[in-house]
Amino acid sequence: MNDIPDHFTDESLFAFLDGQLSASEEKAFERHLAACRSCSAELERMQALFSDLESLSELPLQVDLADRVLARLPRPAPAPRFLRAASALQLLAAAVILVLAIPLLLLQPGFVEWSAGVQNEFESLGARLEPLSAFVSTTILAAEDLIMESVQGFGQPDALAAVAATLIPLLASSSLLWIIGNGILIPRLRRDFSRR
Amino acid sequence: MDAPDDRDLVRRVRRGEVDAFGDLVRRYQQSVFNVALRVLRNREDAEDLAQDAFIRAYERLDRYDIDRPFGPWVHRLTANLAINSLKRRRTLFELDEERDRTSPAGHSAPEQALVRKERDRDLHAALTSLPAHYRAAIELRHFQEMSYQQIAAALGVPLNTARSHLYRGRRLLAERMERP
Repeated sequence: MNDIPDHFTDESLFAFLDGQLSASEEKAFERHLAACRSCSAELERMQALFSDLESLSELPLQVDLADRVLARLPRPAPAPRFLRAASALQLLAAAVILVLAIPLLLLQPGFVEWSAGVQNEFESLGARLEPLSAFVSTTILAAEDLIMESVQGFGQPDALAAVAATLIPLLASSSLLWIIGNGILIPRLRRDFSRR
Repeated sequence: MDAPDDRDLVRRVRRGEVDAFGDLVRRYQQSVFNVALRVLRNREDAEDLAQDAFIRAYERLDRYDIDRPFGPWVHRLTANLAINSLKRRRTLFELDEERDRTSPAGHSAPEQALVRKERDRDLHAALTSLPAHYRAAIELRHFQEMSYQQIAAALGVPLNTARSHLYRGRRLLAERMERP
């Protein structure tokens, strides 16, 4: 398309309108355009057609397609019973393990020293916090007594500490599994079921 | 309260709120229908295809780039679907052009009465009277703003053929618009 003929072909005319000519071709085209009234008129005619296409009004749609489309879309179905039961059981298991593990956590070696340290910290806060400090100290001591009394029937503190060491990772992994199970797997399974 | 924008609606649909897709349909059904109508020419076919296009859009929503405008995406999808529908009917490249040139415009009289401008009416009539492959090329170029390469890919023809369809379609359209 290096040589623009005396009068434009449709190919060069439309290539010009579509911005498909090279810079040199475009210059040659424009030079011819300035000298040729016929081609200039033809270009204007096509530009008007393009403009009419661009502003062409839309024909009215006489129905509402939304309801028809929505009726054909898969709806999310309620989760199957076993999924709902699994979710509830996971929650229950996590709660039970939490209840069992917290007292055992308190029996971990070093906890008594740690609680004494906390007690000392509170005591050092001074007279302004004395009522609060006394309350915390009393509460911690009472909790220790209560725990020691309640676990005496189950065995020696060392053995319980070993059990606690096992339960703590169990608690962590159960909680993690619960989060994964409810947060990721169940919604995905629910979507899969709804597509069936 | 402001109406939610397209991105919000798409996000809600992706989260499982199917009804939010109804809002997207209401927002674009008119333009999607017109894309289908310009290619297929028949109102009932265009309504059916517009529904199919929205169903397809819903199914592909996971692959839609939410940073790009929804309208052009669903319009292109509709145009491609309409052209594939013509291909399936074996009409796209097997039309008798002479018969097509003399075929009546696809609009009924009441429909034409609704078109506001006379020139619009003539243009609609001239467009619908074009052979299917010319009509499709013009739809993809002028309404969907596709490149020559994209038109060739959508029509499933070589680049030169796509260009030829487009140029001849324009020329024929201009001639028909000049008829009294």
